[in-house]
Amino acid sequence: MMYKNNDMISPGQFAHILILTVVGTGILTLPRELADGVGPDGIFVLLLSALFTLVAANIIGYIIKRFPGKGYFEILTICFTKPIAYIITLLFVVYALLINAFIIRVFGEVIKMFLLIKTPIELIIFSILIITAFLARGGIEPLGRMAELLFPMIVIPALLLFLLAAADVNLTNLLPVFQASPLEIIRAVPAGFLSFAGFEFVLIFGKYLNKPEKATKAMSIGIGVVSLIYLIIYIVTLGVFGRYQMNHLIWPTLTVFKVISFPGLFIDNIESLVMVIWIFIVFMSIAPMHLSKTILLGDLLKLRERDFLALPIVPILYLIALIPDSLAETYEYMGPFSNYAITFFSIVIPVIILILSVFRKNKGRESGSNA
Amino acid sequence: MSLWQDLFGREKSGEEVAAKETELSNNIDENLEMFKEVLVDCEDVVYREAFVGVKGAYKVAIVYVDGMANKDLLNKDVLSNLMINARLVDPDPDSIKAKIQELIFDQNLAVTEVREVETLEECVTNMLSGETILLLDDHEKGLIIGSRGFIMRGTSEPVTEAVIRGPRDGFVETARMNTALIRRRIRDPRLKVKVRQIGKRSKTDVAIMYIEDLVNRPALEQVEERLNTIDIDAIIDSGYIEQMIEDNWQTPFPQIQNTERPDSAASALYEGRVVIVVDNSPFVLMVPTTLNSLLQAAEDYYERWTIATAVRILRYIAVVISLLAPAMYVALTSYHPQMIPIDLAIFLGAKRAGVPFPAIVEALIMEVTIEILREAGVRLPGPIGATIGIVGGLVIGQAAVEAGIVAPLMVITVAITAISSFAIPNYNLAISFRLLRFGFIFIAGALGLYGIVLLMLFILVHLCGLKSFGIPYLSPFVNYIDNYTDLKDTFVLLPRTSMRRRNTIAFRKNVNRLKDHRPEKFNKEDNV
Repeated sequence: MMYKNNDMISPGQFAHILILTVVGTGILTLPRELADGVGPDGIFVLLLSALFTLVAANIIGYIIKRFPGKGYFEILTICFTKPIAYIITLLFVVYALLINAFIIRVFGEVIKMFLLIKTPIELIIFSILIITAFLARGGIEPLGRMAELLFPMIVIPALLLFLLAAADVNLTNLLPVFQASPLEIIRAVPAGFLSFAGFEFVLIFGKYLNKPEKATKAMSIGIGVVSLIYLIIYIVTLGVFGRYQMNHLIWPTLTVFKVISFPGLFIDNIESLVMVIWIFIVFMSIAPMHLSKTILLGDLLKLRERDFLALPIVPILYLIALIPDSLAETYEYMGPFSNYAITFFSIVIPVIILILSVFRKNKGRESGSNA
Repeated sequence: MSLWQDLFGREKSGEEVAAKETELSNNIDENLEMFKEVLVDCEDVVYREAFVGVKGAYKVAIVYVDGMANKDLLNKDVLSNLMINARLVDPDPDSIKAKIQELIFDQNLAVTEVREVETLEECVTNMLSGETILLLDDHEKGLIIGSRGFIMRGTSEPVTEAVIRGPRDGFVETARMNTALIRRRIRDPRLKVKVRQIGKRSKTDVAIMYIEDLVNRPALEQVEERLNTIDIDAIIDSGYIEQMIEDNWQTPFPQIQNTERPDSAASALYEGRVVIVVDNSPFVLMVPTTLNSLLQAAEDYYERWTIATAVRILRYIAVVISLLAPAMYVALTSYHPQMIPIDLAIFLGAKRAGVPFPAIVEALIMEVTIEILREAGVRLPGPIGATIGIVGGLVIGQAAVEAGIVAPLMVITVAITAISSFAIPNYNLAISFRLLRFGFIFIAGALGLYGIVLLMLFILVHLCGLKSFGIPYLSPFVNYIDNYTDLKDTFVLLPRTSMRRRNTIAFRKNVNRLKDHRPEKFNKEDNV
């Protein structure tokens, strides 16, 4: 087209992308996994893992600050060498594909269960993937705008619904706290941390930040908002169901809305409405991942124009998403993989980059002063 | 770039009208010959030759187009002065010509606008715009006398944007009159009016208006750049310009706002937008445009803010209804009957049991019918149009229910949808929503509520990618973190006293529009 986008996002949009990516990934399983281990003390686990994530997210923010205008691949090339950068980037693409396929599959199952009982899951998955590709094709700018636009559209109704559900909170479900030993709490933190997975994707978008110096601030605010959302979800779902009932639910966050009854409401069965919000959330979680894949693949293949890559990834994603036979199998496949992969890409790699970049910079300074 | 060229710029070999320049000669007869050659068979052109000066020694001629020039002015202030006053010149044969020329330029032409041009083409273009050409013997330039006096419609109340409270004047078909209507509201020398002619044959005046220190500079530059690319034979209406300079021609959403109201245009200028006035069109274009600005009506700003806010919220609800209501009906009845309250569901089920079609066919029948009714109503003269509405709305709706073709709830849905779409202040936007509504009905028939949400996402993604002259189409909703002050004028409208800053579309230097003004002060003075 004649009038090109300048392909930049503001720190606000950056934070919005972060929030929506993380929430969409973690929201479903979060309360169950926490309650599983420690019950009411999950609040502290949540706070601790939020703190831990905050540190990890700030490392990523710091990397963005340190390499303004540099893409993931470029940063890797500077810190490691080119071959290693290729390998890691490729691994990241695979990782993104898998986690994306996982979310899509779960999404398809949820939609099938709550909304379209007779529609084949293939159609459900494929149709949303097409729209994801459409957004990814547009590049980072529409994504940033979309995130900022959808955030209030998601959060305000969701909060209202949780407020309605809060009427059914039973305080005895929340109460005796400090039952778990500190060791148990700390042992549960990794599970809590996994609910924050997804923040590592924004490292790829750091290149497009128009004010890279605000990256850490945006990251901190984003993680803060996510923690707040999680806290509300956890307290309400735990308060409604209690520790033991929650263990038997696949998606406590969605089931919690079944308890809502509000006289005079035109629409019965609020969970169908919740589905609308849920589709928004999932879409805004897979779309950034999809875009990051096209960006990374574009870097790997040294393409100047990478928008067309968005579409060819769709069939691959579609096939991977349909590999598991059932929902249980999906979780089974994903479980061990996600633990390692998420830790690797959200903690290990950023920390190594950080150390190496400090080291390289000092070296560079020395050689600069010698010259 | 290439697409743009494919569409509009490729035909460089197109016909060239009056590309060559012909200098006027010293001899008035030769000049007149040239005129007559160019304007052969143009029987509306009037030539008036006259001899002035002592003994009628000096020849002058005026040329104008009958019906476009103000004859009164020509008779009283040009011809009579020339013919009578020029006799007073001192009859010195050597200097008579110079003296007459001096007399004509400095003393005798009692008109406000006189210019000199050198080429025949300029003379002809000006003459065809309604000016009068005065040719003098022994003078190699033509004089252009400002005498535009064609028939103009007087300003009247805008039909498409009527208000209950607010000014009632509307734009007319004359660009100059329209710029004057805007100027009346902005007595600021920094309001600039740049006129250019577009269209090789029509030579339509297109005026770009902006306030120098408020305007969004990149947008202004783009307007000028895009106008320069237009190479067309004729511009009939501002709609031509709109389609040529819009960012994306594939989208159903209008990216350029048009208005018939001078007050809207003036307030757009104060917001830092660029206004494009096109001759022969009462619709003035305003850029950049956002979806939000298309949902604002002039009257919002004249009413008190509480009412305006209520109306705005209502309008946004109307947008949602006009887009989604029939689709929701289809989705709920065919896919998610569990969402309908149980009593209603039973009643609705009983009524629907007699209807032979699936809900989507039902919805399409009614929607198409109402669209046809509406289209018929627009073209018909006032009273008949209203009759059509009553016949269509009441009779057909009632008959369709009794005939068992549609369920009663469907009729209600369609009626509410139609009414809602009339609540959208901008006609272009309402049309695009009408189009999208059919898309929603189809997808609801295929995928239910999920499909509706998907299409909604699709449209939102599309809208997020749209820009109008560098401004995101969905601003300020997509960048409210940076421009939160803009939210004061969206689905709410805060009191005027709280909107101290200009919309951020404006050039960022002059952001303040109101000095700190607190109404509480009034009460205090009262107490003292």
